[in-house]
Amino acid sequence: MAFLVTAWRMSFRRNLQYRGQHMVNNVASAIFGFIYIALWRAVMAGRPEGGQFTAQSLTLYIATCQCLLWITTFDHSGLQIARRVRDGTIASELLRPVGFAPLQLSQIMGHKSYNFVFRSLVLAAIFRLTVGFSVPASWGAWALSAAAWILACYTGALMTYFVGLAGFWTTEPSWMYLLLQSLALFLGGASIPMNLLPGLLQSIARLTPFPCMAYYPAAIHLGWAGVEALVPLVVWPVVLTALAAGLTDLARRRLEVAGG
Amino acid sequence: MPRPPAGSGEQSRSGPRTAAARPATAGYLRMLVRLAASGLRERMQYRFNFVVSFVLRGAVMIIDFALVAVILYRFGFVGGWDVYEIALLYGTASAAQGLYRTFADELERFETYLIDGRFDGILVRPWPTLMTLLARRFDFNRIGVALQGAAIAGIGTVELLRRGTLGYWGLPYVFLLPLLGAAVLFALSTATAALGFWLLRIDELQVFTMYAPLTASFYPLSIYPRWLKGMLYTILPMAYINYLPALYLLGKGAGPWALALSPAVAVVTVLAAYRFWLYGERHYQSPGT
Amino acid sequence: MTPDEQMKSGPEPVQEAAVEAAGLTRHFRIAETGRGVAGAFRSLFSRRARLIRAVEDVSFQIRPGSFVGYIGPNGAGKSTTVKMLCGILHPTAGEVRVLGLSPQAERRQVAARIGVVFGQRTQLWWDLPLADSYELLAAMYGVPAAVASRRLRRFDEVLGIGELLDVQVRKLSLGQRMRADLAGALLHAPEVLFLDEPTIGLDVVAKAGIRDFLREINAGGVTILLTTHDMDDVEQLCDRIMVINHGRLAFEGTLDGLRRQVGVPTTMHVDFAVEPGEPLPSLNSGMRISREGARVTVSFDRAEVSAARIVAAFQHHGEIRDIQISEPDIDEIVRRIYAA
Repeated sequence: MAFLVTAWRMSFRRNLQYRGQHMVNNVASAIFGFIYIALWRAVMAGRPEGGQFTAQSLTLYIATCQCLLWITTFDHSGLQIARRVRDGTIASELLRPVGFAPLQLSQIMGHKSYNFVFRSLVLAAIFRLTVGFSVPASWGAWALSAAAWILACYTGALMTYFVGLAGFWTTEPSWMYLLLQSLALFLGGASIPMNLLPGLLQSIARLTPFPCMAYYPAAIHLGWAGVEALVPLVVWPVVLTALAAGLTDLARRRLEVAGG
Repeated sequence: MPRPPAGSGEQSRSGPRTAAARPATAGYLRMLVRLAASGLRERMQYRFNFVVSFVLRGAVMIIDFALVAVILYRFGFVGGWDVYEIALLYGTASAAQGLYRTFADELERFETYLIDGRFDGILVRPWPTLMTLLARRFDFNRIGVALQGAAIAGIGTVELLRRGTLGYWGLPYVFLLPLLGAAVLFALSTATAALGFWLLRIDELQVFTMYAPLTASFYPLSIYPRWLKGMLYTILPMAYINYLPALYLLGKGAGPWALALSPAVAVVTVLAAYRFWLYGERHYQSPGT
Repeated sequence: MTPDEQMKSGPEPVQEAAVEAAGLTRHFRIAETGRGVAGAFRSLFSRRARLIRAVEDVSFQIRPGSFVGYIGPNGAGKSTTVKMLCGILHPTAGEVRVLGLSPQAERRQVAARIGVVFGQRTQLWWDLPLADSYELLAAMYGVPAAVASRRLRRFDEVLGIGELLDVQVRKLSLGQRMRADLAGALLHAPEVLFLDEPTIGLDVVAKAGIRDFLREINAGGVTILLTTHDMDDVEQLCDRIMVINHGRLAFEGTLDGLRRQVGVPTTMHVDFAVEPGEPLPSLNSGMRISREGARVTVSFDRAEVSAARIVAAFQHHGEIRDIQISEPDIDEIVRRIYAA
C-alpha cells in the first residue's frame, strides 16, 4: 500500500506551506480554550474543593480537549472532498485503480498529522505556559495516552470522511461539518466532561462515537480512566470503517447512476 | 487661470451630477432586490437541501446553547447569571451573527478576492467597492440563524419579564441588541478584510477577530480574565452588543449610560472600519499571474 | 457509396476490439423550476422534470492501435460517452466493454489499464509541485520508481515537462497543465487513452506540440479516443472518425469516407482588384463559385483540387488583391450529413 503512505506524506507537505497563517489561528484556538476554562472556573467558584472535578482539573481537561479537537475535528478536508464533487474533479479520483476511501483517508490522516505537530503541540505549549497542561506521569501512562490519541485521530478522520461523503448527496455539507463540531463539543465532551452530563444525555453520548473524539482520550490522558476507556476507542473505528466502506460504495453508485 | 463658461458651474452642481447620482442609487437598490430574489430562488431550487440545511442549522444552534444550558442545569449559575439571563446574551449575539452574515457574508470570503485578483472586477464598477462586494451575495439562509437566535433570546426574555428582572420598558431595547451586534460584527469583519489589502492572507485572522469574540459574548464577560475582558471592551468591542446593556436592563450593574454608549460605540466602530477600508483600498495592488 | 459499405472500408478486425459500445444510452432528468420567486416557491412542493437524452443508442467498435476522432457540436454527447467508457457514469441502457472488461463492474482492472485526460479539469494535485503528483500517481498505479523516472524523462524530451516539475500545478499555464496532465495519464503505460477536448483553449504552437506527442504515443500501440471540437485535430491525427449529434451517431468511418459522403469543403475568398468580367472556370464538378462584386467565394474539396491551382487558374481573369481560406467546421459537416 505504498500509495497510502505517499498520499499521507503529500497531504502533510501540502499543509506545510501555510503554517505561518496557522500560527495566528492557534492563538484564536487558545482563546476558545480560555473562554471555556473561564466558564468552568466561574461555575466552580465557591464550591468545596475535592472530588474529580475542581477548577484546576477542569482547566486541564479543557486544555487537553482543545488540543485533541485539532486532530479529531477541525479539518476542512471533508468539505474539500465535497467541493470536488460539486465541480466534478472528483471524477479523476474515482477513476483510480485504488480504493476511493483508503485514498481519501490517507490524505485526511496526513492533514491530521500536520495538525498534531503545528496545532496541537503548539497549543499544548501555550496552555502549559499559561493555565497548565498535564503530561502523563509514567511510561505506561504515556503509552496508553499515545494509543488513545492515535485511535481518537483515526476516528476523527473517519468522521471527516463522512462529511466528505455527504457532499455526494447534498450541496451544503458545510452544515454537516458544523453539526459534527457541535456534537463533538457537546456529546463528545470537549466542553463538558461526559460524566457531568445529565443522565439521559450521558446515556445517549455513550452510544455515539463522539466521545472518542474528546472525552475518552482526554480522560485517559489525565488519568481519570484506564485501559477500559480504550475499548470504545477500538470498537468505534472498526465499526465506522465498515460503515465508510459501505457508504463509499453507495456514494460512488449514486454518482455513476445519477450523473455528476 | 481659465474660467469655466458662465452658468456651467451651477449646472454641474445641481444638474447632471445629482441627476446621475439618483439613477445610480436607484439602480443599485433595484439590483439588491433582484439579487436577494435570485439568492432566494437559488436556495429553493434544491428543496431537499433547503429543508435539510434549515434543520441542521437549527440543530447546531440548539446544541451550542444546550452546552451552556446543561452546565447551568447542573450548577445553577455561571458568574451570577442563570440560564434565562444567559439565553438573552446567547440569543441576541447569535441573532446578531445571523443578521450580519445575511448581508455581509461575502466578506468572509474576501481572501479569495485578493489572491485571485477578483477584486479588480469590483474596482471597475461605478459603486463603492464595499457595497459592490457585499452585493455579490445575499445569503438568505442566514436569516434562519437570526430567527433561531431570536427564539432563544425570546425564551429568556419572556421568563425574565415574568419574573420582573427585566422591566417592560427594556423590551424595545432588547429588540435593538441584535442590530447593534450585527453592526459591530460588520465593523470587525470589514476591518479584518481591510487588513487583507496588506496581508493578503486573512482567513485565519478572521477566526481571531470575529469568532473568538463572538463566542466570548455568548457568556457574561465577568467570568473572563482581565486581558480578555479588556480586549472585549476595546479593540474587539463585543462587550457593548449585549453584556453591557444587559447589565443595566437586568439590574446587575452599570447605569442608564450603558444604553446610550452601546449604539454610540456601534456607530463609531462602523465608521472607523469603513474609513480603514477606504484607506486599505488605495493600497490594493492587483496580483500578477 | 452507402454508409454500410463505408463502414466496411477498413480492414476487418482481427483481434478483440479495444473499446466496444453496443446500444449505449444515457438519459438525465433535470428538475424544472418556474420563473421568478413564486415559481421557485412552487417548485418546493411539486417537481416537474425534463428528460434529456444525452446519448441515444450509440454503437461502435474501436480496434486496438487506432486513433479515433469523436467529433460533434457542443452538447452533442461526447463527454457523456467518454464518461461511460471510463466507468464514472453508468449507462441508462446498453453495454460497454473496454479491453474486454466492463468499466462499471470491473472498474479497478479497467482503471489500471486506461488513461484519461479531461480538457477542462486537471487530474493533478492542485497545490502540490508537479513532481509530487507524479510520485503519487506512480504509487497508486504501482509503477516502480525507476520505471517512472525513465518514462518521465522520455516525456520531457517531447513535452518539456522537466522544467515544470518543481512548480505547483495551480501556477501552470493552460498549455503547461495540459502537457503535465498528458504525461500523468501515460505514466502507467495504459493501453487505451481517452482524451476529452485536450487542445481546447490552446494556441497553435501548443496544439502542434501535443499533436506530435499523441502521434508518437499512438505509433507505439496505444489506442486513442480523442473527442474534439476542432477538425484540424481530426485531420492530422485520426484514422477513424465518429460524428455524434444530439446524442446519436451520425457517421462512423474514415475521414476519406466522410469526405466522399458529404464533402468536406474548404472555403476560399478571393478579392479581385476589379470585378472579373467573364465567368470564372470551375475546375471540377464539386466546386461552387459565387460572387459579390469583386469578392469571389469558392467552395471546393481540398482533396480533389488544391487552392494553389484554383488561384493559378483565376489569375488569368484579373489581378488578385487578397485571398482568405477557411477550414470546414463541425457544424457545417454535421449539417451536411443530415442534408445528405
